[in-house]
Parts: sequence; structure tokens; C-alpha cells
Amino acid sequence: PATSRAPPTSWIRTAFKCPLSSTFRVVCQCHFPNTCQKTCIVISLRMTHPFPSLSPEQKRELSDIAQRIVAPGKGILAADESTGTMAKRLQKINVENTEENRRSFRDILFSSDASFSNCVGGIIFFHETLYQKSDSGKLFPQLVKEKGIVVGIKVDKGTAGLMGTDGETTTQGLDGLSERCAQYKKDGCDFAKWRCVLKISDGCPSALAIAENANVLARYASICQQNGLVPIVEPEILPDGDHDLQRCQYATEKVLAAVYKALSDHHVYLEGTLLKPNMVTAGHSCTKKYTPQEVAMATVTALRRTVPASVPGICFLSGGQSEEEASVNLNAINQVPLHRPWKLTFSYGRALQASALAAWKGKAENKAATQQTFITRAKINGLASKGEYKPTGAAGQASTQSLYTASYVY
Amino acid sequence: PSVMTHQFPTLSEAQKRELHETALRIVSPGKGILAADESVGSMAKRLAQVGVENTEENRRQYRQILFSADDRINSCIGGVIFFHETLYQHSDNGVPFVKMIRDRGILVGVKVDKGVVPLAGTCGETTTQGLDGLSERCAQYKKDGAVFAKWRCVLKISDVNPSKLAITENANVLARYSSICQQHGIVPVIEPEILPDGDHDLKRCQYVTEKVLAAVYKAMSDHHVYLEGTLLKPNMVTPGHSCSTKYSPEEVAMATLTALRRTVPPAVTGIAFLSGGQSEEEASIHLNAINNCPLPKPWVLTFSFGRALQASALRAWRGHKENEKAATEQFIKRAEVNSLACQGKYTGGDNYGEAGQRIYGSCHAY
Repeated sequence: PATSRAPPTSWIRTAFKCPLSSTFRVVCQCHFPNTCQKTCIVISLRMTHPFPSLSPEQKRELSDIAQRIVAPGKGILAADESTGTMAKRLQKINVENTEENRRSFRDILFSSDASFSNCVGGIIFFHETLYQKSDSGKLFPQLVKEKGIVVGIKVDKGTAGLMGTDGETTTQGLDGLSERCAQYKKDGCDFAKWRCVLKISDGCPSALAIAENANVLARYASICQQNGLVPIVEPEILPDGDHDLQRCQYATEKVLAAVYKALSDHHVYLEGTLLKPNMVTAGHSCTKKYTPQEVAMATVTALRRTVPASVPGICFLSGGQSEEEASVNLNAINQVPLHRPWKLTFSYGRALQASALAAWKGKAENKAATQQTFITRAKINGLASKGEYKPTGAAGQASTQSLYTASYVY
Repeated sequence: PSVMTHQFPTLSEAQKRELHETALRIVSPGKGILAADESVGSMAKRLAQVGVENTEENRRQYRQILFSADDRINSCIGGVIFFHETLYQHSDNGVPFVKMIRDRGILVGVKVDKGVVPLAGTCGETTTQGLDGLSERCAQYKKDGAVFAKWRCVLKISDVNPSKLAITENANVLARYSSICQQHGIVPVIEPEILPDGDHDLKRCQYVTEKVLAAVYKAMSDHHVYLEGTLLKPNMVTPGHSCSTKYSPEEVAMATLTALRRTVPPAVTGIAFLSGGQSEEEASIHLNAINNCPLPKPWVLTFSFGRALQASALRAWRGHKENEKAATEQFIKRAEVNSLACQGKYTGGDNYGEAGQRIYGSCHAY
């Protein structure tokens, strides 16, 4: 930057071309410019000077990975429940939360008939699971990759309270994230997941919660891409509360606008990312009931207003929805008569595994039944991601189509 | 404390529907916008180039040349942007220009900004004024036949520009303008022009365009603007005028479309490019290449050209009444070419070479 006072006349002023960018000049002002490097004055960085963050090859790799995960008819199995969350799941079927039981259940799912790779493009692992083996002795990542499924890893370290807010949180896990990502890439992962949580109430989500969570998601995404991992960006707005559909749509639009502004600010390569948002739904305790078509229309409208077309895929979380609800809603989303430039598919945890867990009950002899149940759900969601799911007894597409032409303009 | 996510209704369903339908009509397939909104000062420069005195009568006669084009332009022009003065002028036969345009199914727009003003503490950057009393002015323009508006902000690229302040301030003023227009049933055309002046390369322009547009749409969200009822009028992504590297139309197209796909939400109804300093043919060829670029396009991509539709017409006229018909023909010809270009169907052009040799290259380099 121009200095306010001229340097002493005994000084020599020399300009060097910056090796990084032809638009920069490095100006050295001292007696011995040829030898002096440390005291060079570098013109301060302006926000609009591009510094290459990714090479074309890196971009291609990230983009290819993302495309493979959301290939037509495919979605994601979110099998990344933390140890604490698995405790809750296993407790429901009266199974002890041991490492072996966790391994055993994941083994049953991952060893299912290879046909489930027609509907599952990626599986999100929890750290522990990445280093466990199948009964056959094969490491899980290898088992999954052999079926043509991309391996992902949850990398966040859970939520942390935001002081001065009404119980809102941000998510931690950035420390040493780069090194962890590099290791995960070596260990077979090609994508990662990070979950932020927001909630709707009279005072929430606050401006701070929105900005802070958007920022931390962008930092995580940037670090992942440096290490060849496609970041799944998950800004979940919880369904808790009695708010109506419109309130959730409004909040979702504000949150996603902030997320994509943060991703732009952090120079994230959108073509090498995926989004994992909530569907737009009314709060759990809302007295008004909405049809799948209303949910779908509100969801797609919110996304069209905020998510750039360069994002290759949007994989919905199931939140508190039942398995069938999650499938029916996803199907309706894929039938909305509005232009949808991204893939719209699933990244389901409970909505893919609830019945399978119930079938298993921790007993090895239930393995086949468990796998069958799981594959059935996976296939249904694969169809839903193409808008081709016909629940038995449900009306055909033609008759449901009319339900979209509601008078309400979202 | 104010709760940012409480929604207060900004527009009724009927208002939203009206705005959305107006926007769709302006960018109907094969159609674009004639930007005939040159201010008195801009017209001075145009008329001086052809040796015509800058009087109100000459400006009226010149616009008449454009507006008396025959029905051939009805399928090429979806909207005309007027300057305030022109909105209240008539043809030689006493027919108001607004009526001439509306009667052939073309929508009337009006430039509502009041020009650029400097931003102190920056290196020659500006914001745009015109918000004072804008609400009342919009209400009046709506009564007088306008259904869309235009507001131009200007940014430039240099070693130090555009600055964070210039980006934020211009994005904000564009959002305020949009919000006010929509309250009055007027579709805002949003124009954040990044000038082509300078020696920067294509990549630099792409980078800056992405940053500027990301800020614009964040501001739109913050100001609760109904995106389906807006249009965007951006620059194409091009190298600076004095850049020594030459780029093909396909490279310009790829850089432009990539930047837009990364920043403009699919809900925006249409994108109508400004022509900036491009020649008539250059602008058409670029628009055509953009529409043939093999990347998915969730919005209409068309034109909102001033000079690139009028340059030849102006030169043919030179202020002489006997040249009027010839001048009008020049305008019609450009309108038809751009109608083809906005559908990716323009195959002509003096310097365009072999039609089958379009090479768009890898999108991962952008």
C-alpha cells in the first residue's frame, strides 16, 4: 500500500514480480534489495484477487466423486451414528451398546446383496466403523468400495453452546481437521459430513447462530476439498416446535442463503460439494397437517431460491420422519412441476435402518431378514429419488399431479 | 432484540403471481430487451458520434425510428427500457410511445436510478443514487404504463478493485431498489455491471463476477426480495479491453455460464446480458455461444442490449429524415439476429467461421 511518507533517499526501491500472481508486485525498500527478502512489503491482499485454491485436476476429482454419489437412482446411507447415538438405537431393541454389536449390525447392512449398490451411491461412516472388519475379515471401507459405493466419514465433533443465545449451538471439529482429512483419504474415504444444528422458536434461529454455523460449514468444506474429500454440508433446522410450513420455509431460505454466501466467501468449489438439508416441514407440534405435495412444493421453492445450480446434488436428511413418510416426501419432491437443476435424493439414517434394526434384535439368525428389510427400504428410496415410487394403494402420478397446482404461491 | 427470521408478509400471492408472469413475458422464448434508456448525457455522446445535435426533438425522432419498426420485432423484443423523458413523448402522429410499444404486446420498462456517485475513501469507485421518493415514482410509472424497471450499478476491476465496500454497498442499494419496485407491481431488472476496462484476463473477470453476484443475491435474500419476480442484467464474463490474450466465444461462454451457475439461484426467472463495449456482432456471437454451452441452464439467457442493437441504426440515420427507413431496417436486423442468438440458433456472422468446430473444453478449468 502507498505509504504516507516517502522513504529516505538513501533507500533503493525495487519491484519484483510476484511468483504466485502476475497481478501482484512485491516492493522492497531497503539498502540491499538484492539480498533482502524478509523485509519485503507485500501489497495487502484484496478480496477479489484469485489465488488458486484447487487445480483443475483436483476440481475434476471432487466433481466426479460428487456425481458418483448422486448418480441417478442413488442416495446415501447415513450409517455414521456416534457411539452415544447408537446407544439410543440399540436400547430400543434391547441390545447392549458394545463395539462388537455396533460392528455386527453395520456388517449385516454392508454385506447385503450387491444389488443395493444400485440405490446407494455412498455410505457415511463413523470413525470407529472405518477401522472395523466384516466377519469375512475384510475392512469395511474395502467391502463397500468393492460394491462400487463411495466411502464417507463424519468429521465433526458435535455441537457446542453459543453463549448469549437461547440454547443455540455451533459445531466443533476444525482443529487438526486438515491432517485428519488427509488420513481419512488414505484410509479410503472420498467424502465427509459435518452437521450443524439450528432450531425455530420465537427468538431462533438468531443472526449469530445463522452466521456462525454458515461460517464453520464453509471452513470445514474448504479444508475437506484441499484434501480431496467432497464435503457434505448439513445445516439441519430441527422440526421441533409448533411453527407452520411457511415459517420453516422462511427460516430455511434465510439459513441456506447465508450458507452459500459463506461458501462463496471461503472460495469453496461448489461443483465438488453436496448439500444435506432438512425438508421444509411444519413443526412436530403444529396442529395443521400438510400433504406431501405441500411439503414438496415448499421444499423445492426454498431450494430454488438459494442453492446455486452448480451444486450437483441435494441429499435430504430424514430428521424425525418415519421410513414411509421420508420416502413419500422424497418422491413428491421429485415430482414437483418446477425446474430442479440438482439431483434430489436421500441421505437417510433412521429412515433406512429403523425396520432393519427392529428385524435384527441383535440376533445373528435374523441376518437375512434384516438385510431383506434394509434392501427393500433402499430400493424404495432409490425409486423415490426418481419420482417413481408408487406406495401400494396410493393414487397414480396423474392424480397426485393435480395436488401441486394449489392456489398458494410460495 | 429483532428476530431476523420472523416473516412479515411482503407481497400477497396475487402480487407475486403478477410479478412472476411479467418477468416470464419479458424473456419469452426468442425474446430479449431493447435498452433504449440512454440518459440525456449518454445520448449526447451517441448523437455526437453521428454529428447530430443533442436536442429533445432529435432524441424523440431517434427513438421513433426504433419504435416504428414493423411487426417483425414483436417476436424478438419482449420489453423496452425507457428513459423518463421518452416515456412521455409521442410519435409524429401524436401516438404516445408507450402506447405504440404496448399495443404490439411489448412490455414497457423505465430506468429509475439517478446515476453514479463516488464512494469516498475508495479508488474511484461508486454507488448509485435514486432511492429518495422511489416508492412514489414507481407508483406513478406503473400508472403511466411501465411494468418493469432498471437500475444500474457499476464496479470495476483493477489491482485494488472492486473493494469490499463497493461490492457490499452496490449489492445493498440494488436490493433496496428491488424491494421498493416489487411493492408497486414493477419487476426490477438488477444490473451490477462490472466494466471491461483494464488488462485483466478472463479468469479474473470470472472471479470478480462470482464474488459480486454472490453478494447481490445475499442482499436480495436479506431484503426479502421475491426472486421469481426479478431479472438479472449482468456483464458477460470477458477479458479486459487491454488484455493481450484473446479468447474464443466458447471460452467466454463457459466462463460466463460457470459464474452464473455458481451464484444465481434457479428461482431467478431470466438473465438478460448487457453488451458493455462489445460490437453488435460480438455481442450476438457471445450470446449464441452462451446458449450453446453444454452446461445445464436453469434460467432463460437472453439480451438487454443498447448499443449492440442500435449502433448500425444510429450510423444509418445520421439525423437525416430520408435515412429513417434504412435505419429502422438496421435495428430490425439486429433484433432478429439476437432473437436467434438467445435460442442458440445464430449461424451467421462475418468472422464466425465453421459452424461445426465449436470446442467448449473442460469445465473444470473454470
